[in-house]
Amino acid sequence: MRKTMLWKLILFVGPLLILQGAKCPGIPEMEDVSVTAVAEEYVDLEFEARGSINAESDVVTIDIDDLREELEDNDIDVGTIDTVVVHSILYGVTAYNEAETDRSIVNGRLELTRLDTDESAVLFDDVDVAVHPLLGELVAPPLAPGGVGFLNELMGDVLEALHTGTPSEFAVTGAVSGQSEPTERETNFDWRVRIYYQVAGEVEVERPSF
Amino acid sequence: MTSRLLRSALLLILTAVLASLLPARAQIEENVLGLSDENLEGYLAPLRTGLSGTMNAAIFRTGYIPTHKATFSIGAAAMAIGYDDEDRLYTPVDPAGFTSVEQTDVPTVVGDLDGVLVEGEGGLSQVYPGGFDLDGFEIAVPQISLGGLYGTKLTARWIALDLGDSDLGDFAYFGIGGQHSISQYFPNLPVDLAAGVFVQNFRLGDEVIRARAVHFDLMASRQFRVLQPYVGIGYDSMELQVEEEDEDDPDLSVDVDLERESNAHLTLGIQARIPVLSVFFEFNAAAASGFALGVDFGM
Repeated sequence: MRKTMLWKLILFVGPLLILQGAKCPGIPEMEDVSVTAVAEEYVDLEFEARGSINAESDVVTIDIDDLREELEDNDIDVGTIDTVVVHSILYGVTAYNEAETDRSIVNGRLELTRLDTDESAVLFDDVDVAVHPLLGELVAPPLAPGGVGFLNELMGDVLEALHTGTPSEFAVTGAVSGQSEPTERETNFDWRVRIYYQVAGEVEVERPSF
Repeated sequence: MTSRLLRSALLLILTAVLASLLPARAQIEENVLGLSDENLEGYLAPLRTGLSGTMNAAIFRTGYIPTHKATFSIGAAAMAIGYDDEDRLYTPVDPAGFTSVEQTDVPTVVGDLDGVLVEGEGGLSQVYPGGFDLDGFEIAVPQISLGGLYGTKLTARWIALDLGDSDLGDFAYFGIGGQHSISQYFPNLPVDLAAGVFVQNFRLGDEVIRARAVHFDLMASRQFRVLQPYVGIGYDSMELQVEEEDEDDPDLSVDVDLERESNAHLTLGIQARIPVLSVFFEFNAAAASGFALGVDFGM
């Protein structure tokens, strides 16, 4: 009788011990690890094309304190941030106020200028595009070679400012030129350029150790 | 501008693991991913596989369903699967406005902790987040069964947790289904045979992550003294939906339905039964291969 009971006990406990030894599925332990997290941000340069196509955007600002606060709110350790990069640039039309839908831009050009250094670069040039199909869309323009480099240099300065605290903001403005056709009617639409950038840093998490 | 999805994914793992073991509590307050909807699907795919492989395991452990004898049992089942190397990486889809210079695999939710920077044309770059470096996935759930009426047994699983300070809301898991004896209609069968169906719902937060699983199987077993080996052949289906609203910027809200994953399911197990108590151990080859074990008390 005792032998039978012992055998049954082994029957019950055996698989548990085997699984526990294999850590499958034992009760998990918890451990701290650092995971690379990525925050995606964007800024919009907004333009109003009225009458003459020549227009200048509002000044667009990246506020370093706001950015740091936002990252910290998301548990990203600002001290671990080692990457701030531009990952895409899109443009599109936000409002089209003309009765006819045949508006087009020829030789469109956008030049960006940093207000802290007065450095400038062309983001895109020689762009020919029909305006109305871009209403509500965001598409990629053909980028000029130096434009992204200019923005990545700005992102490098943003990275440094996140660590040092200075300067407290970076401001950029955009200037547009090109021909708006047909020329016999007044131009009347709004558009924007959206610059997406990413900030990568570490997040400390507690995870199960299987 | 940000998403709490990485936190949600981890919470899902944590909650699944801890659900029946400890009072769950969020460990991450905020987090971000920076992924397009398409790439979010690639990132989270192993989570769906892990959930399917565990939630659909150890539901039915016998083909013997008494036709006119009341039965009742309450117990717990722990299920675990292991991830393969191929589960740790996925090939991302270039988001709008970005063209990668060369195809690069990046970590999934169970992949390496370090993120990967992918270089794009024209000097653009895309950073992909790291994973949680997980070798496997476990879940443990309580289960209750009631049967004996016309060869039918009902089975249910249920967990509900308040995630407290996590601001994710509640975690709720509920499964219900049953088995019906087939062998009662074929008394000369050499084994006990039953057909089963089980439906499960898994929700974290206010629709942050929602999973729905359906499992069918045909289970055969035979009693040899206290031992009862069993074999099941079945079919699993799993849906996973991720929804995250960004109140500040609706453009950055996420609503992703991961493609339904369906697969065949083979179970090989053995149960040891003595009065009032039984334990089981089984192997499952399904969405992922894994083991399960557990204990039942009842009659």
